[in-house]
Amino acid sequence: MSVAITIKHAEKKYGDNTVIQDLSLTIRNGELFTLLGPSGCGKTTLLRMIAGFNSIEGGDFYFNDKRINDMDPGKRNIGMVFQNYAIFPNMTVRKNVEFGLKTRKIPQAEINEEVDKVLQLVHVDQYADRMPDHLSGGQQQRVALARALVIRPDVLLMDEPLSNLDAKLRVEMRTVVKEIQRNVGITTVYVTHDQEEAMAISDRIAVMKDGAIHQCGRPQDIYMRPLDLFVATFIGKSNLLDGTLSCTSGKPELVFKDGYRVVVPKLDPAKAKEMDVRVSCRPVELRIVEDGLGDGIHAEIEDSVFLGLNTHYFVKLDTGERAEIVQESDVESILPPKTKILLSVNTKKINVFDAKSGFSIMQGVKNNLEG
Amino acid sequence: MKRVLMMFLVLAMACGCIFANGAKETTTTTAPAAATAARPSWAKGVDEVTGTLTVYTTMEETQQDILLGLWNQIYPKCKVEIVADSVGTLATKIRSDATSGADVVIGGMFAADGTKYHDILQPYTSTLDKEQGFHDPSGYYTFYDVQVMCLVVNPNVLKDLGVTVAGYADLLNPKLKGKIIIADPSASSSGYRQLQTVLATMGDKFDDQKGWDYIKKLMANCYSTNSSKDVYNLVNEGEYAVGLSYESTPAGIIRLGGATMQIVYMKEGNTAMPGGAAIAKGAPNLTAAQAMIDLLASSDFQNKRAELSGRGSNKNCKSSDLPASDTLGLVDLDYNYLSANKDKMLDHWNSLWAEVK
Amino acid sequence: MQARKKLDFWNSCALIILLLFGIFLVYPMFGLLKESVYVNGSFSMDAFSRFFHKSYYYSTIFNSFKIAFSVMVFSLLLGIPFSYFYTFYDLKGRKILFVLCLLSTMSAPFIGAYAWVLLLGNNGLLTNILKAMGISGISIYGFGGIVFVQTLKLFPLVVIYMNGAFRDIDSSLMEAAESMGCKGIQRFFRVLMTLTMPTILAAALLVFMRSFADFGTPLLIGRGCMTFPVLIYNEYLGENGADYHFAAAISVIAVLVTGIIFLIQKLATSKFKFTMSAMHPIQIKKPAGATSVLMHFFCYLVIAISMLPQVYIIYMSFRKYNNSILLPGYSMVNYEKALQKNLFRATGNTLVISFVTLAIIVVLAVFIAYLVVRKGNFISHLIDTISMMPYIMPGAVVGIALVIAFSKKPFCIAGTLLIMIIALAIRRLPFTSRSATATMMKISPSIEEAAISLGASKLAAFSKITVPMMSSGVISGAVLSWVSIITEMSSGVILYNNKTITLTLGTYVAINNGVYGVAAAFASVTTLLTVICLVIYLKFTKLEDVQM
Repeated sequence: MSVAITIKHAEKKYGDNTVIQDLSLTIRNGELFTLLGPSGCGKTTLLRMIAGFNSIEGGDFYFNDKRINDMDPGKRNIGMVFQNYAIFPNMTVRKNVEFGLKTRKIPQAEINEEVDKVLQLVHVDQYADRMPDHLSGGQQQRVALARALVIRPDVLLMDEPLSNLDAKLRVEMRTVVKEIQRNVGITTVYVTHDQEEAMAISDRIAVMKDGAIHQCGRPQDIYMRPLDLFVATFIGKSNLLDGTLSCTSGKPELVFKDGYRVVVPKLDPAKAKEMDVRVSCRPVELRIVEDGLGDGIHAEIEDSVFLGLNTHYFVKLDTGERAEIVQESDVESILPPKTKILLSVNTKKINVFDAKSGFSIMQGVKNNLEG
Repeated sequence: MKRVLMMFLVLAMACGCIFANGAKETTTTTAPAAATAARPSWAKGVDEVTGTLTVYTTMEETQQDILLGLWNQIYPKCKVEIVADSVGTLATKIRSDATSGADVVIGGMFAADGTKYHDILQPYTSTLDKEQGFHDPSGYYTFYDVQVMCLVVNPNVLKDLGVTVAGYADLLNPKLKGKIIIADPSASSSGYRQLQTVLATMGDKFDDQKGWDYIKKLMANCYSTNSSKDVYNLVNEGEYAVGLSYESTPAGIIRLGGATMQIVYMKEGNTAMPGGAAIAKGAPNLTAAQAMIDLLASSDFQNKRAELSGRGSNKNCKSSDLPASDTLGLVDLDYNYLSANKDKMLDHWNSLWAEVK
Repeated sequence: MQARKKLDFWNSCALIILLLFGIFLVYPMFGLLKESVYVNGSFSMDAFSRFFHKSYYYSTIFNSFKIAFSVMVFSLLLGIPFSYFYTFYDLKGRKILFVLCLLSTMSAPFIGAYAWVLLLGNNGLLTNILKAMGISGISIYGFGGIVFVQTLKLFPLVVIYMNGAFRDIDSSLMEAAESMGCKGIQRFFRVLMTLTMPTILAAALLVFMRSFADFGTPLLIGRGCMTFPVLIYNEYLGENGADYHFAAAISVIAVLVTGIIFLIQKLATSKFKFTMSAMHPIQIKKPAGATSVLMHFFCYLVIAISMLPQVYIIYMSFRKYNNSILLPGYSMVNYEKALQKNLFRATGNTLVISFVTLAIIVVLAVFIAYLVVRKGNFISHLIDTISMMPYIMPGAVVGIALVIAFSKKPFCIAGTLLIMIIALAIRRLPFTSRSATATMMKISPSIEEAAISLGASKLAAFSKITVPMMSSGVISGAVLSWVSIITEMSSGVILYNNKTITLTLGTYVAINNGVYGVAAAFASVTTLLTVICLVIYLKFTKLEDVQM
């Protein structure tokens, strides 16, 4: 039966080295919750603390109301899927999947029934009697998933399960994972460094760096209104431009380095004052305006890549900064290098950050650690 | 596959156990006594001597056969277990192995030993002691053998080399380089006996510089071995031309026929030393042990032994066809000197050997 | 809150193993140490000074060194080309070549030496043939003979090691070298040899140690070239010395010497730390022309010479012997006599001892491997280090230490099968635990975590998952360990008695007693036993997987 996970003031130390400090988090029952971040951010460490394979130096971990700090992994009723699948090489697929049930001393007839069901669920039923070394990576990962699910765990923990697959398979498998999770309705904690994957499958994402959660929320909240520069650059592609906020004429205005000024409607009035800022503009939030038609940031095209639906332009601003622009391909032509252009800004979507603290000064930034 | 391996393992273990425990192996020749010979007067009763007698001996095969042949005739109810090795090994095994169960030590017990082995032996005076030509003043040893030394030669090899050997001096012939084998005195009692004999006959005084000078020159021509048996066996096989050996066993082998080697007694002289047996301390089967000692001391045994070879110590022994002792040029040995200076002499030998080699 | 150190299964395992080591390894070693410095109740270093004073004594170390070093060099010179030809070229009858190569290493060392005496001694069969051809002056005795006999016996170890190393080389490495203009002999030396250097060093050390500690061969054919183990043997079991105090001192020196060699090798290997595995192993080629002839000739000649002693001994076992005299004609008298002289019992003892020892070693090695690789804490490393100690102790030393420790109450087990099993287990454990550790390191920890996450206890995860995964690696090493157990002599000769005699020791006793025919009979039975086991083993393993 699925549970909610509550983590209060978690602390992880290796010797004198503290890698996670005072981390608190709630994961809702039935949610697919992703821990996302670069290597070394502590996401796998936290996952393994939930699993019981890493020791807990501080804080409390709860499954629903039960404190699990001192429970053995085998007693926490978790299902775990590893990056390298960890399929037992000396057993057939069926025997692999049976393993947890056999340990629980469930009668064989019931085992057979459950195993058949879950094998069908992940679509590996036709390989039931094969040995693992005759399976492809994707098939092995499905077997790992089946093995973890068949024991009806309270929580499903997945540690970068798709990293070892090739790109196309990764896309395919993440849909499978999401479907199955929805189907079974089990609370899932998913670890990955691939932000596209995280956004594709998660109900909520916690973006982590250096052992701390920077922002936690739904994919669209994190993407649209990132809480700080790190989240803004980690999620999706982003151009960072320098600027200042000028409060001379009533409404605060965003002034780019070359003088171009715009009003940003969604600035948080409480935070907006005279300051240096950095602006995060996604490639589609900068538009190329043909020289002469209107106002914008002065820039020059350096290179372009035609990718069918979209064309990517690599431009150099007169200020010396560089940016990448993505727009729908023009039927007529691609702008050649050295073309002088103007860049206009989609003020509704860009995000402005305090240059000193790195925090967003936009309205509507959501950081939801409670679920 | 694992199961097959497991089954094989179990099977092998089972076989092993059967083999190991099944046959209570002894090295006796079974000879139920259809006693044709009259039972000797000194022997204990047939039913008195039973069980197992564990014998630690330096005797080699042929002598063991003789001993056991006689024993089984007289005491058919007592089985003999033989452990055969050099005396140093035997002594060490008895000292270190509390379960060794040794009853008697036969051979390797020489008059010059002093108290060396007393820690593993117990005193016993044989009932036939008065018949003995030699007695152990400390009351531990009972002698049955008088050991003299000799050279064993391979006549074919000598002929090829164009050399004749009549005594120690001839061994310094450069043509014999690498063709002489001696037993290492540190490792073998016969080697030590040869050392004594050389020192006794090749110097003006025992253990003097002249004797050691000879030894140094002799070493240049020799190879050494740990085992007394190697000396005569390898000469017999033609590996070596000459070996410095003890008399009894090679003489016996020659008598059996088929051997190539011959015995040459050193013209410079010889030494005789009584050798014998003793009862081990804490012997489990004391009665049988005593019976064995008595048997060894008897002329019955020693005559039988002399049929093969060897000189007996019992005064009632028939004379054998070995050269009489007075023809050998025997030199007396000072036993006290020997037991006091053994280490020094061995040390001297070892140092010289290291120098020469 | 804090991670509590519970007395869980593995911790108790570690403690038990430590306890076993303490009793059977550390305690005897201390006994030995004590014996070497205590004389009549007072502390003294006289034994050590005596050793270094007399050239007769300390020259034995040099002798052993010289011999071991020469054997090492020659074994490499024989073994590396042999392995190269075998691994990379499709020689005719290569399977048989390899099996024979294994067989030639599987006999007790001194049996080979004894056979060589019969063949190349002063009156040997081959010597006489050579003399008839006008070649004389070849003698099997002394320094040269020892090196010859030991090299022929130990080079197969080099072959086995190098086979594994060569197979780990990816063909792309060779092709890359060739594309840069480095081919043939040059490539062999500059690329192949350097890539396999760690293995070469490991094999060299193994051969060196084995030769250094070999006791049977110099005893038989040394003839005055006194080596270290023979000195220890003499001092302990000698007829006219039996100075245990001195023997203990020499043993301590032996351990120090071999320990230093071990450290030197570790230092040398650490300079070559890298791992390789071949995605595309080098393909076997068909040799052609003159090189083909040369290769075949080399390999077959070497194998023929190294198998000669065993074959000759089998032949001799059917000749008519009268104790030590060889008579013309054939007969079964040797076997009859052998049966009288405990052949049955020896065979039974050999089987029991070898299989029990093997079982103990395999179990201990697997547990130690797990503790070292997975737990890696202080206790595990302590266990690992202690278990490696016997690697540097000559067999005679192990025997002496055990006797000194266990001949008095309350631990009176001297003279039993048990003490022989312990000695053998101690001596052969390091190899098996090394290979078990290497196998263990290839298993990812997440496999066990998967099992644990599914509810299995640590013990269940270990026995149901990890052990089966390790089994193939461990078993292939186990067979070679089994053979080396059977042919072990240096500790057995000190520990055995009539009740616990084994086939190898029976051979030794027979040679000692001059009954050469019986010795040949014992040796032939031993060969038969090893052949049977080798055949059974090869039925279950591919030839390629034979490893140490």
